Amino acid sequence: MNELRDYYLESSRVRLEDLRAAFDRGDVDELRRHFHAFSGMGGTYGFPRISLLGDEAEGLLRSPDAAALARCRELMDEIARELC
Amino acid sequence: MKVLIIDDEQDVRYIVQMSLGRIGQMTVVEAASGEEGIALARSEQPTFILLDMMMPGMDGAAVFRALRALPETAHIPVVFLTAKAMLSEIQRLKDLGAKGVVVKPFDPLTLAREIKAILGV
Repeated sequence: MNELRDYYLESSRVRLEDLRAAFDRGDVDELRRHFHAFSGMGGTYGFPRISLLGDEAEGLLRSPDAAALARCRELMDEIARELC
Repeated sequence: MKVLIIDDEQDVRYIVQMSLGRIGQMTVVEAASGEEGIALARSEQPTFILLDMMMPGMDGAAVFRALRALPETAHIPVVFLTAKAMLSEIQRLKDLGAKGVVVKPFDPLTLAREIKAILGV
């Protein structure tokens, strides 16, 4: 499992950079794609809380108003902390 | 057994390689898009296909319909990979003709056993 976790930590660091860039561009489709990936695979790789955080963001992005996007940024930061 | 995994996410393909390849001792063939998956299904003739539902471009349902329409792939069992599936969604996929559904997140240590139970082997 350590091999899986190491792989996921590295892969997710790249995804977080892409996620931050998607926020900067205002690219909601990309935000959905990345949070969906965190939701689906976090728990599989041994990070169940990342799945929960990704799931919450996915739900918020069904109506991506300013408040939802602000909360999604917080969720992204929480995911980053989980990966430290 | 030979499995074809069709999923646009590298994280999913990697863990399927580990779960079904290394732990489950299956031969794993990877496709990163629906179009590539259909081509590989025709040429590789896998024992079964693990197919992601949500993909950009051709989604899982469209890939499934295309596979069913081709004589050389119509017989290959398809197991869908989907996130947070509700019972109604799982039933809808089975009504389409899917052999079964694996819900993400899944346990990589037991995925091979879960798949074999779905396939009845």
